[in-house]
Amino acid sequence: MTKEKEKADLLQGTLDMLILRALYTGAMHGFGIASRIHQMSGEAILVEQGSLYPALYRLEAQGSIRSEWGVSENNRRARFYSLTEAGMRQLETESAAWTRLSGAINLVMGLSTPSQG
Amino acid sequence: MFRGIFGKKRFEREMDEELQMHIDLQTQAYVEKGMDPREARRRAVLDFGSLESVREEARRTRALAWAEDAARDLRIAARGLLREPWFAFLSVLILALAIGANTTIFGILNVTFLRELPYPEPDRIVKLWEVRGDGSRTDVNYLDLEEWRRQQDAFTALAMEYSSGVTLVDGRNSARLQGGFVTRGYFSILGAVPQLGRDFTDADDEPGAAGVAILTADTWHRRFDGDPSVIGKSYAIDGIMVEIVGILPENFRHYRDVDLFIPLGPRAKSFFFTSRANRSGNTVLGHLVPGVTVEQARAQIRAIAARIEEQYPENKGISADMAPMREALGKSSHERVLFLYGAVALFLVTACVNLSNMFLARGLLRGREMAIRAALGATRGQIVRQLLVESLLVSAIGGAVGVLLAWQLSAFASRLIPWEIRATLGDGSAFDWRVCLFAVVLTLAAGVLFGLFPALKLSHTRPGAALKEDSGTPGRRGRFSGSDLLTIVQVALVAVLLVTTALLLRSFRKVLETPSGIEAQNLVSFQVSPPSNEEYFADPNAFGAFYLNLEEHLRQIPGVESASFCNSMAYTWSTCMMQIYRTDRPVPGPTELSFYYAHSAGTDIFRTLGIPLLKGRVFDGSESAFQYPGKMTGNVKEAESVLKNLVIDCVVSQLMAERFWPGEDPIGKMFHLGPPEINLGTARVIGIVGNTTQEGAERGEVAEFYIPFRSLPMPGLFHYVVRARGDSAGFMRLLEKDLAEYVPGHPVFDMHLMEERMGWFVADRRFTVQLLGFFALAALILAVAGIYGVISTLTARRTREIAIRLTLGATKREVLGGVLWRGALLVATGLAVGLLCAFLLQKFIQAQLFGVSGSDPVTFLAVAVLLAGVSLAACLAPAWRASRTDPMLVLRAD
Repeated sequence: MTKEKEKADLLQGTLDMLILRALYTGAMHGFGIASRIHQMSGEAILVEQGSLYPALYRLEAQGSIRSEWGVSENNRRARFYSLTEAGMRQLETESAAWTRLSGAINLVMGLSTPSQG
Repeated sequence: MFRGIFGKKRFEREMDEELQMHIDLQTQAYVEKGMDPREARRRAVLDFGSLESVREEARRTRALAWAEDAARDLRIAARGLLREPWFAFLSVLILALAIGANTTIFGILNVTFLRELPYPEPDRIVKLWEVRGDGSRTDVNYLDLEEWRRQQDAFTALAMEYSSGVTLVDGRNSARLQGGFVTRGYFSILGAVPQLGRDFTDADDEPGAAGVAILTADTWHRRFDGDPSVIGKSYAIDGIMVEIVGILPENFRHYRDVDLFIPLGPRAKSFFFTSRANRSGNTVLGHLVPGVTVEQARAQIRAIAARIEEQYPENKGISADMAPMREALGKSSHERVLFLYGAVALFLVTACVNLSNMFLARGLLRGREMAIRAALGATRGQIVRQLLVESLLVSAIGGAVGVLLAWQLSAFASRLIPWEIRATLGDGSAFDWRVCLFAVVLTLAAGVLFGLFPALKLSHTRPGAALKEDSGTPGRRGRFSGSDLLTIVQVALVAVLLVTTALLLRSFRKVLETPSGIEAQNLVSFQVSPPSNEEYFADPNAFGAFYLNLEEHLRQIPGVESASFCNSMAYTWSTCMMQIYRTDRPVPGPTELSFYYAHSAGTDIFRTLGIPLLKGRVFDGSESAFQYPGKMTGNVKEAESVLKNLVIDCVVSQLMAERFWPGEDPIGKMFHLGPPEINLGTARVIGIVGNTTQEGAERGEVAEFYIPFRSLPMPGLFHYVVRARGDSAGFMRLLEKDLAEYVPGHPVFDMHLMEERMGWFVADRRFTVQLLGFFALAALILAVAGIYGVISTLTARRTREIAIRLTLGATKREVLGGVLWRGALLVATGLAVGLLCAFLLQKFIQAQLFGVSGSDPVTFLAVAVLLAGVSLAACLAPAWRASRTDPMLVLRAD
């Protein structure tokens, strides 16, 4: 695996997790997902549309999410995404992994601070 | 997966709608923040970035996801199959056989029904024939054709071809070739333009024109080393000098094997084509004018035929008909090809059902794997897809092997192609893009067909239940209903195949057992290039000596028991039919005349062929010899004035005696040879002999009569027949050598044992029986294996239940009986359905049968007993195993 690929995987994995997390509370259309991530991250993360939609299609193809056409809040036809059982499970494992990873990072960062030493 | 392939357009449309929606919502969000609507829109579009690059990225992601999924599924499938190599091998083998057989027979179907003949504008070529008053088909009379040609305008050309063996003499060498005698315009119909030299002209087709010939490219290379200077050279063909004027193109394939073509017009008289009564042995083809339909052309030719009918009494009741050439050439085989196709298609369905069952059984054994996969988050669709990829992988490999098999078989199976169509194929096999496409579609269809059912069934597996359940727990009742159904279907299909095969086998035996009326052992027959017809006209009295002397000479050869000759010989496809009527009755009208098989034979014909004398006497050489005053001019009236006074001793077959003189004694009775308008003389019956079959048992015994050649010699090809003592192979070599010395310049050809000839007439039937027998047997093995599999799986899953029953006091016999009962129920249901289907299909099968009814109860019963017997035997092993269950061992294992 090349360096770029690894990097892309990491980024992709993070975005995937954010999308799954956003959908955890219920079905949403693409704009809603972007807004929710924006909001959840304390307006720190702005998901680019250029990555959002490809990610959505990929997740759907993987079976983590499914989509359905419905009516949006402004009365237009919109595609709503929701988690599948598999997506739910994926979110759980990925969240757990993320928690472990961030815990490990915190630990490492913590160990390296002089005050802890 | 299928959406991935087929839903592309829809995907794009929906994506655009979704992206547009996103921009609109973003605009709205900005407006709500207090932004000017225009500015909001601009910002939203800017935020989004390049719409096209998003689209592109989404497309790529989607395609990648699909490809990755497909690759992953394929990897898993391949790994799964490699884990069970026997399972994989067996599945591939079964499919390869089924797809190979279907592809092979489809190849034959393809050339018989679908592929155009290799001539330009093949859809405009029609074959024409005449129809007698009773509706029977007959070849076209030469004079009628001339009339048609003069009066019609529906065809650009209308021509006749008459195939006949010829002797070509080149210096001291002589060779026997197949000549195609054609009337003007023949090659324009088939679109053949000579690659060298010229085509025949209308003048070449006139009576008295100088002899010319056109060679096929094959003959040119084989006989003349492809030397272009052969054009312009002359050779004696049947005693007439003929100049080679043209060579046909390399790729031209005539629908009959012909070595060289010669204009028919100048020879029409010597072939007796100038008689209005002669309708034999030719083919008439026409090339439709563009825009004219077959119906229109038919109406026109029928109108002309009606006019001819009014004009000539000999044409009473004669009409005409036509059909597109390919249809007409293949017609005799249509039913058989479709029938065979039905049989192999049935085998394919049986194979698919069997594979379905195999995959289902395998899947059930892998229940835990499915459950784990489901527990890991695989959706039902994913599991179905995974299983389908597995079956498609098997079918793809099976299909590939099958196509290879079909390709290997195509030469072997080409005998099933109607012979005239086969001749147009040349070396090119029946294989083409249509056959390959068919194989691919069939492979995919088979993969989905046998994969979908188990896939859907297995994807129902509930993770919780399957994981908790172990092999000892009794399965739910519904679990096996799928397998049961498949087994029933399979038994039914096999029953249909077995009944069909058994009926064909019985027909074949009937054919073989039907006596031919001829003692075929040690009987050798051959033909000798005859003196030309012109010699006959020059001196009809001396002409017969050639044949009679040869008969006498053959008798003198050491090792010969008896020898004779005849113009029409049994099992040589050469027959001579003659209209006759009783002289002691009023002269019948033209439509009341019937045809009888006529033989012009040597003296010792009956002893040589082994035909028994039943009453009276046979020829002894004392029959009156033919006397004709001087030269024959070809003037029919003149000849008739001599012939009509002849009284010829003749021998009739028993069947003719019964038909022609019912309830009377034929000995001494007289009948007139030929229709009333032609006076060929009168025959007087001197004896009655046994019946023979002339064209195989299926055509049956024929009503025939024999007249002594010496009393009425006629020109043409005769078959010599020799009964040898002992080793016939060595004898045939000796015979050939002897004849080359005795009649140099008259090549001997077509020398075969009579037993061999008779074999040719049953070869197609033998082949069909073998083919069907093979597939029926294969299907039977599959069905038995299927039943065995289902019952074993059943008992394996019920081990615990059986163990409990045994501890509760059930006897081993009861357990055995229970399992057998289950098997018997499946088999009986399948058998009942299958036999019913076979019974309903009998109308379709009947045409292929001989001497046995399509609903023959013995056959049905035999198939039922056989199938029930082997099926129960298949159940016996698992049943016995189940009854041997040691309850304590099983229950303690938990």
